[in-house]
Amino acid sequence: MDTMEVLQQAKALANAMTVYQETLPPDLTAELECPASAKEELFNECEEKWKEIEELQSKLALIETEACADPDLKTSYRHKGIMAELHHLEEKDPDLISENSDVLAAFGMDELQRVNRELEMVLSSCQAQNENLKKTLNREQEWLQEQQELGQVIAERAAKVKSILQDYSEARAFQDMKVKIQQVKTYQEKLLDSMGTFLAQHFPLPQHQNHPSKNSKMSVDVHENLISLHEILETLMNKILEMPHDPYITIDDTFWPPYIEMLLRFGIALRHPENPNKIRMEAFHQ
Amino acid sequence: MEGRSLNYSLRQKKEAEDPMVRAHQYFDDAKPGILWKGNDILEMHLTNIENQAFGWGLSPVLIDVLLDFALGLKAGRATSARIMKCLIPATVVPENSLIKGVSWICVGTLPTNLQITFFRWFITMFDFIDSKEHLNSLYGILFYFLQDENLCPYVCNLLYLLTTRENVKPYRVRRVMDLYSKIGMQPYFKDLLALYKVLRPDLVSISIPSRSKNSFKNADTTWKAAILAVQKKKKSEISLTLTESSDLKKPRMQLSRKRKYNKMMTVPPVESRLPETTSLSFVNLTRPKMFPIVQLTSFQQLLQNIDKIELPSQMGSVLNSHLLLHYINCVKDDSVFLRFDYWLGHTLNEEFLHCKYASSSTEVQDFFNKLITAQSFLQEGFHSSEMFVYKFLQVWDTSLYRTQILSLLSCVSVGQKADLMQPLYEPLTSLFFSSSVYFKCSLFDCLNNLLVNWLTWHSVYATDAVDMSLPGHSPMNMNLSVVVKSISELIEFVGRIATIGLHLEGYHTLFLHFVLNFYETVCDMYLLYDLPLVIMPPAGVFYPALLSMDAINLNQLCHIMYRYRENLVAAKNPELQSKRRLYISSATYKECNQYVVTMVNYLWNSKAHVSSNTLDTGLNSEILKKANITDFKKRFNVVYHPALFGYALDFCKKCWTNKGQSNINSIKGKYWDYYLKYLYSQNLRGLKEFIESSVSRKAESTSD
Amino acid sequence: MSVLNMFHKHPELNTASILLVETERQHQDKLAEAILAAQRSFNVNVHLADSLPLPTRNEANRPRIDLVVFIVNHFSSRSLELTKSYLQHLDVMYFLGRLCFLVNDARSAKSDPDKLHAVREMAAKYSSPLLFTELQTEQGLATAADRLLVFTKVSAGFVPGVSSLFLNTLTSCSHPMESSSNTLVDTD
Repeated sequence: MDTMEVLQQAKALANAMTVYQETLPPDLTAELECPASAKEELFNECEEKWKEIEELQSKLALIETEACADPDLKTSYRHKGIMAELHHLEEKDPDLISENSDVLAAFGMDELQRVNRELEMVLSSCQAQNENLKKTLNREQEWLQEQQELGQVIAERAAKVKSILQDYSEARAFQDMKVKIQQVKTYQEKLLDSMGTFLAQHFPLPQHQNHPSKNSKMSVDVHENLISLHEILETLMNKILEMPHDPYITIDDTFWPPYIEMLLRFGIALRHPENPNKIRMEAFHQ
Repeated sequence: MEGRSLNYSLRQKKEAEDPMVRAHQYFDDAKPGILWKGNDILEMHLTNIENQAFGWGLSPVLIDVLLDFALGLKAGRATSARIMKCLIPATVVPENSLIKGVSWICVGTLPTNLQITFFRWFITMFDFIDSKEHLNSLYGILFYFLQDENLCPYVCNLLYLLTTRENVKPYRVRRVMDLYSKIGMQPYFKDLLALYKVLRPDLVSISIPSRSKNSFKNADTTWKAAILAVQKKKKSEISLTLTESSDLKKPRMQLSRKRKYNKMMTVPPVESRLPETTSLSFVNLTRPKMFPIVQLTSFQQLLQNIDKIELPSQMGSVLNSHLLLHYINCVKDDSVFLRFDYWLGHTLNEEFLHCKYASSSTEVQDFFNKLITAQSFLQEGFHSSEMFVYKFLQVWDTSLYRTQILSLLSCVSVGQKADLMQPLYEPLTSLFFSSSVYFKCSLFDCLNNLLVNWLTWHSVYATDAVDMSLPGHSPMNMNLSVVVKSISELIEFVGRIATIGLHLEGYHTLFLHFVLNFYETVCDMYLLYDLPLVIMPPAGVFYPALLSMDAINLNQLCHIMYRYRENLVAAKNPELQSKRRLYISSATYKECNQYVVTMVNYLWNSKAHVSSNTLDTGLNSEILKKANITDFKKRFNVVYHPALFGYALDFCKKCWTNKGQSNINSIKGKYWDYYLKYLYSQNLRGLKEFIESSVSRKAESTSD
Repeated sequence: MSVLNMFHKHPELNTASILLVETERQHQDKLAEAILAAQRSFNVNVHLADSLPLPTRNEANRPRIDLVVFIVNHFSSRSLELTKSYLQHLDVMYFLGRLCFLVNDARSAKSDPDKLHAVREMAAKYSSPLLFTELQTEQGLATAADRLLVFTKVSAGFVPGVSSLFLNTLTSCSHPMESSSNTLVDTD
């Protein structure tokens, strides 16, 4: 807070004070003179009450204390206590603090002072609430304006889209769709092409053994018509996309087992839970 | 002398570099199959490398070459392990080397412990990788390694660091769930699933206990210690330069990692969801061109691109951006709020309710303030914020972030079931009665705001014109009866605590003021907010206000009774005001009548009802006689009422300035009217309304 | 077994006494200072102890205790057990609203929900209020002191028409199973 602001606020406060200065009540404490007789009477009353307390206290002191080991005991005490208090409240008559009018006047002054203090709190809290409300009002007005603008813009857009929709002839929709499909098809071809090259380069089909091997253990079971990995993958993909309810294909001899094992191991294909000869592609798209 | 020392250090440096250059050459040209036993050249190079590494760190190029060498097993396993141990970066780790490393692992010839070492090194060096553009593409490959039991924890950790929203696919979630059902819920699975759930709550259906901590072993101490040593030596803060390079493409993963370390309660910055791709990708084909939200700075931009805005990757960032809040307000997407709610619940729980490190209070206050602003803008409460408030109230000490918590409390929504407020009333009761009068006042203010919010919500959404089937955030199928029940429960609860609270606090003026503010809202429910409900204040509030010693509360009470009267009169003939028909029991009418009659008797007719039966107001005629108060029946009228007495004196002074003594008894007849006008001019508007409506001057009796 | 008696001593004029019992003596001093510094209209004596029964040598000088506060350290189960044993040394009259439990820093990550639950159960069993505090900050200390003074004022009888039992019915801790915290489980 800079000095100018402080000065301004002080000025405002001074102005405000001059306005209600004449209506301010005079200071109460200055006028408080309680005659000595009233004080004495009050004192005597206090002494009497204190004697009563001491009597009750001595009665209570004679009661044997019980340590609470047991919540049930405590509950029964609670019950008794609450019933006793309820009874007392019903029977009790309100009574004056004192019958001396001077004393009562002094109590009244006290009350007025207390109310005065509390009213000052009310004043400051109301002022703070006002400030808050002003800020909230400004904020809400801003937001309202923004939202109205937004609403307008959206309504315009909606109208525009609607008009486009109406103008949107079937032929044009068809044309747009064709272009899109063409684009997607090109992309798909590109992907399949690159996949094909990749697979052909790194996962070729095992070569047919031209010469018989000496080691009969190394019997490569090579069939003439093994299909390439690319074809296996394509079959799997087509099956799962075309027939999602039955995406399994049966393994037969045209599938080179090591590739099948590889697909299974890397999680690209899954075995049928019951039939070990059926596999399907993992549902990557779901 | 100095010149010579300079040259000397330069020469030393050159000599130091030379071994590195030579080592670089050696490892670069190395062919696989080098024997390490007895290979002196190899030994020399390795020693040089080690010295350099633990002293100053290795350059990125060198790291690249060495990693290649090590993972290619060109000199046997022991050498590879040794090299891996000393791969301390001087500045950054190039991304390509990591990609190459992953590809070496895929070859499958590496022994398990070397694989583990590589992954651990990867995780430790994660913050030092210069760019992560391509690393995310390896996600699928890294995911495969989850199946290897030995690697699983480390791979989980790595995936945790790399995952973005796009990586969370259903089949991956299924895989993780399968693994978890086979191996059991290991902590690393829990954390990975928790992250998946934060990013895509719709895909992960099991509930992760939100108290799971980040259980990954945070650092491999050998590497970390060495890096710290290197950094200290260089006196350059490598990590700082990396994290400060805040270009817009910074992937979210890096930020989230930093956040885990700092445990800050902050709102993440706004970031794009879609990666910027230039090539012809499938994404660009099917989606229209979206406006990148990081560029959204002005309201005009929002207006122009309203149909092309994409949602941010981290939902929580909408709290930061007012424009995004506008956008969310319009969008009809359930998942938006689901994601936001989940993030909010997660943040509030982790960072606040169970925080290990205390976030600074300004941060927390900031966060709460943003949340409150967002809720008041969207004009409804978030479910997670409500749950948080309920939980927090059970452990609150009434002073921690008092304003914020009370504001959050006042944003609670009406709820689907009426008894959802019960868990709220219990802790509130015990907090209320055990705290100071100022907290009581603040709580009443908050409850007043809560009621106003509910009533406003009702008056907007309950009209037939509004389509109640709006999805997303508006609670659907809100029954009028549920709303009425909740509101009447709230009012009754408030009535009870107000009565007892007033008694406890000795009828504190400030507190009574707040109580009457609440009833000012309640009295107008029918006319202002179209809620078919009228509830009278309890006697424990009415009589203290009537007999209060200050004019403000008396005035407010008059205003409230006037409004009650208006509402009840309108309720008799709803068609006149085109309001809905409501049924009000005759008991309510009786109660209101009784109150009005009492007030008029006290204030106007000078017939303050004092009886020997003390249950009414406790004013006993015998007591008053004992106190030498004569003529007590008129002691509460507008002239003698303790609250208005000051005004009477003032009036007398002004009226009879000529006469020395002001005689209050002479305020009658026409002076009574003048006096009333004087009172009205002192801003006692409530008094004016009440008297003009409930008192007819012609007849002596009251009308209602 | 010596028991702290409620009514064996005379009350004093315009004075109330609080007894703070804490086994580990961590927060007692700060809290006592805060209570003495708080704004109030009556005198307060604060007595500190780390166990009950209180030593008999001070018996004569000790005034009547109006409020007993047990500061429970909910991070250790030992503290809870000890507190339960101390309860055996209290006159049953104290359980009618002149007793309250205090738990500090329930919000931190170190807190175990089970232990907190156990403390709550104990408070509910003895129908006494359970206060949560944040004694690490000044504000938290001042608030805790104010709240304790509310209880003290009523226990010493300085609020007309309100007895400690009355206040107790309003502020006592409800049994954790009764409060429908089960419905607050996150639905996601």
